[in-house]
Amino acid sequence: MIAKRVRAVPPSGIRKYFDMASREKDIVTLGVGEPDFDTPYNIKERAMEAIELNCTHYTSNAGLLELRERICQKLRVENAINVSPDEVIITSGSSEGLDIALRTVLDPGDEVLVQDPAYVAYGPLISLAGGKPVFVPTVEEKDFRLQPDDMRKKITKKTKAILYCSPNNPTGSVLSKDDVKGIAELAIENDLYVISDEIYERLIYDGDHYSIGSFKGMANRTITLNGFSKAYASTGWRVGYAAAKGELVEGMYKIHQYCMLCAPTPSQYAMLTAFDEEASVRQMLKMYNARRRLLVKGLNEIPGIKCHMPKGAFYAFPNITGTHLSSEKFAEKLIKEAKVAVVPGSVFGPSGEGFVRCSYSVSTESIIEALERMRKLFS
Amino acid sequence: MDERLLLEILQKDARISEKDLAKMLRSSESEVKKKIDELKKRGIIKAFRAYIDWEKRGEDYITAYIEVKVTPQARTGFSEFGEMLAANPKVEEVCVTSGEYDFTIKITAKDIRDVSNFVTETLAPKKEVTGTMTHFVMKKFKENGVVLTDAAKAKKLVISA
Repeated sequence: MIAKRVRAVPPSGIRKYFDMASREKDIVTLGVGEPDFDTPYNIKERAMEAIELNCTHYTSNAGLLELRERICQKLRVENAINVSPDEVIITSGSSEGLDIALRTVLDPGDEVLVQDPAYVAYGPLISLAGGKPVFVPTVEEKDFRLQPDDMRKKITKKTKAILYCSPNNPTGSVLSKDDVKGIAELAIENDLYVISDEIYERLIYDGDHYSIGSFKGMANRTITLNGFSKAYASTGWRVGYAAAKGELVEGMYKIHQYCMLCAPTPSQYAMLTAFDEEASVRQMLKMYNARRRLLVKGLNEIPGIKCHMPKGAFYAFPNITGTHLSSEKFAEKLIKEAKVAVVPGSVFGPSGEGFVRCSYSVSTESIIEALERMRKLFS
Repeated sequence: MDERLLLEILQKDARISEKDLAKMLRSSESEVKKKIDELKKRGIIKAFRAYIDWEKRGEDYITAYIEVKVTPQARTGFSEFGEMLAANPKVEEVCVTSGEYDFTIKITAKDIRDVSNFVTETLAPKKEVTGTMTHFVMKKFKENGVVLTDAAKAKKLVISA
């Protein structure tokens, strides 16, 4: 028999819909969590060059020094986070960063405050690290922003850390400066660590991004996670990074060197050019923004569907309670009868019930076709 | 309205409705229509056309690139010759290029004989033409920004977290 803690982790709720969609022909998908743009050519070219020059062996465990230096510069200029290259670890995607951060911070039974709904991996990874996820509901009326007052109610003697993501997957919510300040105060008051997942940081259409690690008194208790997947349309390259101080980064480094050795070497070289791709990022952002408006306005024209305007990431999170279907039934009906794939909000946590996640990181054509099919089904 | 973004969207899909464009550009249908008319008038939008793979429809034709060496004419230089070529319906592209030859043109014709006739009867007799070099296209992979081979499409997940 395999380990109890593994058996206790429920299988991903997304799998079922993936299988369902795979059985249908001619599916139009709004179900993806990755950009439809191609990786900028210069990034690809740098990887090809690295391969040709035999840069295909291990790098140092922490990752290429030059890349860590560029990341430090980025964190200083864009996020007001001051770390040295020794305080940055290049990870195999920010997913690895999340895993090693949790394993570094948690003792058995420790509780982690997690926003609900949130990325599907948060709960299971906390459990696998021996901790217990404690979900803090977020609501549509507050744009699904995580509220310090709601968090306070969930704090117990066992609370060890806070894990959140802004902009958020699946809701697209972006925390305000006051929200982040409130979370920072709460963390300091209760001596909690904060794991800040900033992977969607560059994808904000209204408002600004605030890194909690830059707030007063937060540097030594924050792990900042980020990566190249979303902003640079590079999900398959598996390059992310974690930044933290002192024993936090030392702990993560220990786990990383034993379980990962290093992030993929050609990918690390490729990402050296990512910081010069500002123009590509801005162009993608403009197109996402146009698609965001197209999708949200189109959804609001469908009877029974009501969609708030998300401020970031590339997801719309419409309220579908007007159709009198559960999230799961809605997604199932949509796949089977309209051949449109979306993800039920309930797979992202109990507060996601009554909503579905529709991605606008798909082509304009797909958005128009999906909306047309949904209109036909519900009119 | 973000004119640049409007053009980028139309370049990918010229058939997108004014209603959808209005939503994407935070504007109104009439504003979008006005803007597109204006862009046409200013000569920025040159045409709205379908890009067709005639070969797939079983219609045979041949594409050739022809480099042409030309003696520049008094007063008009290359422009008169360029405009004369552009007026020929067989000719798809006409450019003055650097290098050993002065013009590179692209033509689409029925068959090799058709291309030969064009070179020997249309081009060669012109007094300013001093030489030609013809390249027949054997296979196309990308044209007008459209990738023509199916193999290039990477498989992506339909649903992911």
